[in-house]
Amino acid sequence: MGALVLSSVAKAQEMNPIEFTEYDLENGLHVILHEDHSTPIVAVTLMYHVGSKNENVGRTGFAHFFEHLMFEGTQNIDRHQYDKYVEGAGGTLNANTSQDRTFYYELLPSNQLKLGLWLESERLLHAKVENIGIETQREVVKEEKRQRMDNQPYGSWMAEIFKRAYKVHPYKWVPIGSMADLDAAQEEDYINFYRTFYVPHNATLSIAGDIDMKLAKEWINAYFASIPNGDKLDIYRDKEFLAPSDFTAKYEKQLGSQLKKKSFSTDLNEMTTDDFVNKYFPKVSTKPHVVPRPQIEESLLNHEIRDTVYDNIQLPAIIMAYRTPELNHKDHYAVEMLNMLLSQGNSSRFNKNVVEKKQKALAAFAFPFPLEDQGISVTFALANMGVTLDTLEMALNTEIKRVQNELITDKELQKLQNQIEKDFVSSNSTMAGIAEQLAQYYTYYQGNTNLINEEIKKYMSVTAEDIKRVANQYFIESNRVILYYLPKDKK
Amino acid sequence: MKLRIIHLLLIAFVSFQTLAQVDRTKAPEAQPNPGINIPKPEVFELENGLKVIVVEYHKQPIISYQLYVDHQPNLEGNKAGLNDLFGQLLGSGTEKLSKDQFDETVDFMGASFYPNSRGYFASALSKQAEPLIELMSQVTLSPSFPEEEFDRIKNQQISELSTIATDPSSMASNVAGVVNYGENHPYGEVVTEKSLENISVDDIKAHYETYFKPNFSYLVVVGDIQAEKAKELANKYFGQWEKGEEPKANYTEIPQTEGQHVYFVDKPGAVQSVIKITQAVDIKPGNPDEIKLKVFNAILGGGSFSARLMANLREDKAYTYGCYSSVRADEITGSFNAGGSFRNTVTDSAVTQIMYEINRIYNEPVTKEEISLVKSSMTGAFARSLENPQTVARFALNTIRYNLPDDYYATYLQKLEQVTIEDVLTAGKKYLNPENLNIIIVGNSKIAEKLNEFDVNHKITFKDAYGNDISPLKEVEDGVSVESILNKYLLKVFMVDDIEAAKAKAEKIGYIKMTSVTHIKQAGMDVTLTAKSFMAKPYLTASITKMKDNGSGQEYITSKEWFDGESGGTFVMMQGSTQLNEDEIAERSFNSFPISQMYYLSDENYQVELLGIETVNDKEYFKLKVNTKNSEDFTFEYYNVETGMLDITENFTTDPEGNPATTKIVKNEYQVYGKGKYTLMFASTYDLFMQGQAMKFENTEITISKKGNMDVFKGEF
Repeated sequence: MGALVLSSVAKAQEMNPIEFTEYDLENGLHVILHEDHSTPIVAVTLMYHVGSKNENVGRTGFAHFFEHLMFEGTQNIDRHQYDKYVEGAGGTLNANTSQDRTFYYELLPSNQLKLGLWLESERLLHAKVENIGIETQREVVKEEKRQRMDNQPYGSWMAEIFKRAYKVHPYKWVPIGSMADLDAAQEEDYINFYRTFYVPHNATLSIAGDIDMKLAKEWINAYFASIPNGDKLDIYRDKEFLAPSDFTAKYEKQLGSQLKKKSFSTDLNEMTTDDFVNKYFPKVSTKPHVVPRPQIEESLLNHEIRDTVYDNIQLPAIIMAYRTPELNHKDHYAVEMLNMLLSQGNSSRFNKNVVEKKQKALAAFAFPFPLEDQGISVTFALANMGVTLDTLEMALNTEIKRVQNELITDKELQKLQNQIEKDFVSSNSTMAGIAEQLAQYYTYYQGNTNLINEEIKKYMSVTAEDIKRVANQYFIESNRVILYYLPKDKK
Repeated sequence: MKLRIIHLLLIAFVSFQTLAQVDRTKAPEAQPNPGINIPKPEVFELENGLKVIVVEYHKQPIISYQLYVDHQPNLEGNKAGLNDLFGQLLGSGTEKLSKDQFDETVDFMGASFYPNSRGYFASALSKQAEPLIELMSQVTLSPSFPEEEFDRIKNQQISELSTIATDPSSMASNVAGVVNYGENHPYGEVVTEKSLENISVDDIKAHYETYFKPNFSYLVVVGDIQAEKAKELANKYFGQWEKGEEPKANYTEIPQTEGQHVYFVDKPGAVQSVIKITQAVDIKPGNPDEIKLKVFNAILGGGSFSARLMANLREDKAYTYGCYSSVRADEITGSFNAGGSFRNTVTDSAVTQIMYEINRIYNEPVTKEEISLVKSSMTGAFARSLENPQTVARFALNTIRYNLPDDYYATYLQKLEQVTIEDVLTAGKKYLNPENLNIIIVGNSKIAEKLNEFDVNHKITFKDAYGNDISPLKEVEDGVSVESILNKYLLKVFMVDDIEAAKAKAEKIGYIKMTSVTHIKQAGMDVTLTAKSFMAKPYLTASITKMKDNGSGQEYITSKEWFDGESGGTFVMMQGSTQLNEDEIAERSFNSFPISQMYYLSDENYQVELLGIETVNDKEYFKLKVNTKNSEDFTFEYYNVETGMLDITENFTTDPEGNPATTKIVKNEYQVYGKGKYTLMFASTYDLFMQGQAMKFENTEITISKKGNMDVFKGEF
């Protein structure tokens, strides 16, 4: 009887797969297209595979700061016009930066697809970074940090956790970075960053919405295929940004005797950049340069890191993080389900036992913070009035010990699977979300874009044993950072 | 030959492709407008008056049910917070299902369920359409409101209240409610610990009985379901819900202010100020002027980077990460808000710039470019919002709730297109009043003074986190002085008729020992703290605190402190002992025996100032500020105007790193201690507030004598 009930509930819901087309342009730019005519809108997005983990010590926060600067304009778009073009067309735009990638998007009425392509191709080809923009955006970013971290209760948690959870990996700093580092940045930093990371083969153009496939491909070709790569792209950008005399001086050797041609100075000043580069550098390489990425395998922690943080808060809290594997690791799915077991829904173990039954916490959450390289799983618990943090810690530990010692029941596993199915089916409900997900799967999973439809199978194959195993492997005291957050006046 | 031609053609074709390169110097033209289409939802009414709105949406196999009980906003009076508490408790079990069973059922379905004070939003895979609506009918028709869960949620809310003091936006909202609407208006009521304490589970049940009725409620069904099926389910599961009378609400008039007022809430240590410039605006949803005000607002400070506030305060001056404004239409009274978060040093400049922008758009016509940009952007936003099927449902709900014309949303974009520059100016003038704005700032009090200039009376009003005035002190009557206050107190403490007699009595006393005890019993601990303190002439002091764990019976010394007039030390559990340094010795070497008030006027180490009369918990107190020499720390002492006794002390200290700390002691029930010549009045119990905790101590023993054990002042207890 019981089995019968179970199997009738477990009948899988039919879901509509996300269909898409993907291909590479000759310059290495990856393109993903998803066609959906239900609403006359289109999401035009460009994901660059660069985040705070590509920064150097002494220049932390640079990727995010750079994202702000990328709205300042280009050779053909004046300062403060990016948003005017988009809003004037009835669209909206923004961008965000994580540890691993930088993501730009425009949501437009579908008859403005071309505008989105133009804006994004301009950014990729020849974005303009000027002093006035640098000065203004530096202050804006500082205000962003004050608003999001300094003036926000517990707002410092990410920085405090990450700097302890990693010893060598650049994940030890967070995307907002250090304000002193931003102040220290030099002109050449901007040039190098743009040259190294804002190149076609390091980007994915992902478009979703009310598009005509044939036209879309034609326009993408027009705006993006003409963007050179490799040495040729560097020359192209130098030609546009350097003063003619500086340009000539820099490329004196390569230009050689051509410099003596009568027409050279006329061409230098009057030809389009395309024509000029084609004429004077006909054999220059277009081979993409290698994009450097940190090759750091940081092992799990080998002893517990315990500390106290005094913040402008009222309620003491525990914030702890276990080091967990990278996104593209087989254990990732079991880790994610373990977090759900602890904290998704009112019947989850943290909520039912720590919050409701024992009343040790006002709230307790566990959530994975997976990253392209090794990530963390975070637990955040606010102490109930009059509960000391070590009592709260004991209650949290008890729940984790239970998962380590006892297999979860079939019914609990079924519950997790039902929750996953619902989450999976309801995600990807907007064009912007679909465009981002497609780009993300392609970028993080070595081109496995179709995971957008297939990933649910990986969750469904996780067993109760897997969950117990990852609890014993990663959710152990020697592999965690535990912070006691206390009000400043307790110091 | 032919080959040659083909070859030439190929070249031509290739070069044609190169030539056909796009013109990057110009923005591309738009394609023809795609037009938008708003699906028409199915709307019907059950016999009990419940209105059901169904939006079919088959793209994903998901279904959602939203219940909205549309009663008028109700005054909560001395039970502010009742609506929220009700909302939280709504999902805590039904007559058939305990709270645990209910939670398990929701989660096992993979469903989401979010209750609120007006109903709930629930969603699941469409294969769960019937089990979910069955569960929702239980929530609606037979909620159980278990007492245990009520207690837990109420306590939780009380705990959470304390976080308001660290959340500048909540503080600003509290103040905005009070100053815009008055504290006797549903939008101005502020939840406090006291108001939560007043609520009982019976109030929650009564609220349900009064306000939860189908004849003024809406069930909104969105998702992968046929309208016919939804109708059948609604009838089956909500048809039994009994109708009732709709309660009528009464509101007080909102306060009319004259001139600009500045309200300041102190947030010690803040690195940014939250600025909220606000006023009540009488605009109802669906009023033809609403759309004009929306255009007005979008140009001033809507979400875009090119809106005036953002362009000026972020992109030009870099004062902030974001600066926005909003106009909210509401059935009772709407509101206007403008502001953001700004670093301390530019707070006053930011107010100046926001006010400049408000006045500019109020007085001068906007430009053609601005209005056309905003119209395009609003048109796009409207179209984008239709991507979400819940938008279509919301349009249908609003149309019925606010009695809008049937084609209100279908013709929305035409109405938007017709808004003129003149309309924007007229609407602004009709609804806004820039001279009477309330300027609310939550931030570091160091910057408060600079804000006086924005207030009509050149004097800002200080508010607490809940919007209460921090009342300015009343002036004392003629004849009252520091001396008269201290003397009255000393005569009472010594129980004599004149000050000379008090001195003579003090002369005889040489030694005082006090023992006080508190029990702390809270989740996770059960301990007894015993504090003993010793004092002797002229300023010898010592104390020892022990903690007994009543579970294990073990006892620990948590701290010790001693000073023999020349040297001394401290001991703290887990940290060990340290010798007093020079400064600490100097701080202790003031005459203070048997009570320090005897020396306030004669000893130059004390500086005492009479600040005025302050009202605390409905009682009037003379407030003295006491500084000691060479120290930044200070104490406020509150002497009861009626009895003359010292009832409250607040001690403000700063540690070497600049972190402030406050210790507050409230003394209760003075009584006589000691025997014969050696008698004094002391409080028999006191409440100690420090480090966010409150402890109630009882003085179990006080002995007053000529001599006593002097070893304690050497640290030997």
